[in-house]
Amino acid sequence: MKLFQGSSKKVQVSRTEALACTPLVTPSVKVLTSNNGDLMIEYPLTVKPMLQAIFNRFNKGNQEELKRKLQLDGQGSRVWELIDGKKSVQEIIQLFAKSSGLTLREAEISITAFLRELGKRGIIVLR
Amino acid sequence: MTAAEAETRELGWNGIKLVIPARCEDIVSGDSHLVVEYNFQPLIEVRWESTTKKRSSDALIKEIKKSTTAPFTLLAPLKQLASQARENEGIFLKWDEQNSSQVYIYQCRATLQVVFCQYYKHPDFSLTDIAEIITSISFAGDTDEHLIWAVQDFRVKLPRTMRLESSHFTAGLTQLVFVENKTLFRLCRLAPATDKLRGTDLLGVLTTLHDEFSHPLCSSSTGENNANCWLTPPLTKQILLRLKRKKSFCRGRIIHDELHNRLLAVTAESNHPVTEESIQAIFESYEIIPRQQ
Repeated sequence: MKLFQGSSKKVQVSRTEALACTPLVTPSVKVLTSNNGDLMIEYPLTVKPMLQAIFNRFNKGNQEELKRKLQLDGQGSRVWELIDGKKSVQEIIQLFAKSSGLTLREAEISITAFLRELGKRGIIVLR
Repeated sequence: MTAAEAETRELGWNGIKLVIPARCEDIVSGDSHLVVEYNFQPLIEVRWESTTKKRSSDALIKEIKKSTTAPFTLLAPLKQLASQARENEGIFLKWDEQNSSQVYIYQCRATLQVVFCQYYKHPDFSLTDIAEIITSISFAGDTDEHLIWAVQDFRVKLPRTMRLESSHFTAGLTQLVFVENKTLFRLCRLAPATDKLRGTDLLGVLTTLHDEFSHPLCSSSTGENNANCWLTPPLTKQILLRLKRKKSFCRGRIIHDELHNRLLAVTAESNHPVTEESIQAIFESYEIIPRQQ
């Protein structure tokens, strides 16, 4: 019976553990406000060492750090403002659900996807 | 609504019905898998599978041993569920590697559904609360003509002939896709309405839910807090759409529930004309149930 088949044995951080983490903004990130009030995040681009070496070779005189920008929409900006280095992911979800009128589960899906995206880009770390 | 009703709410999904504390969150993890949690900690997981023959507790244990190598220990029944377990020949067990949860497996004698309830230690709920959830589990019988679909904050009663094809739960948009007589029905719930209607109207939202509604041949009408769209193409267009493996006829309706700040939409597509009544029939029971936050 499929019902009794066990799940895979990969060791992963549990959902409860992940939600208890606190997101922290990395120091190299700059936040700009666009005309409509939404936020824009400027963050250093992390590239593979090999690509960095090629870049440095062709830009010998130019030591400028590679940077990228990420434009947030209204909801993204609201979540960003909740990331203060004190609130856990769980608290951010609860506050966002309350302010946006979404259910907790919906807010969780939205915020975890957003934080994952920020984490991938090196904009935040989870403590 | 009585005080007890206000403290609980009914869930319905794919034939199962159960009553959970109103403050709990429900998560649909699959066609036959529901999770109930509170404060981001699971309280109970319910899975079920339809079978054709009666199974004794020994047969259930044999099946578990056959399908998993994970060691488990049989437990004494919970006293709150002892009579139910005796009636249904249910078994209680604990996977040796999982200390925080226990499992109750039984077969519903009336419908022969095998039910797998995994319940967790939770700081805000007692075993009696969990037992109440388990005893509230019931399944639609063969004679029931309708099934209740009630998760998140919506509820709809659909004919049993409508089979769930897929379900998608994303932030602010829930979509359940059903098939009945080769007609595809898509039930959508959008939240919050104020966000979804920013810079657009109901017709605009309906068009984003179903591309075909942007077709120039599409007719539409709008009323107070609702909008309708339908496509009844000429024969040449029908042939063209069929060649593109698309459904020729489609119809949709969206309503704005201002009170609860939600949008409810139903779209239907088929190779045969879709009647307005088929959509209207769904809307008769499709509603938002306010949740206790």
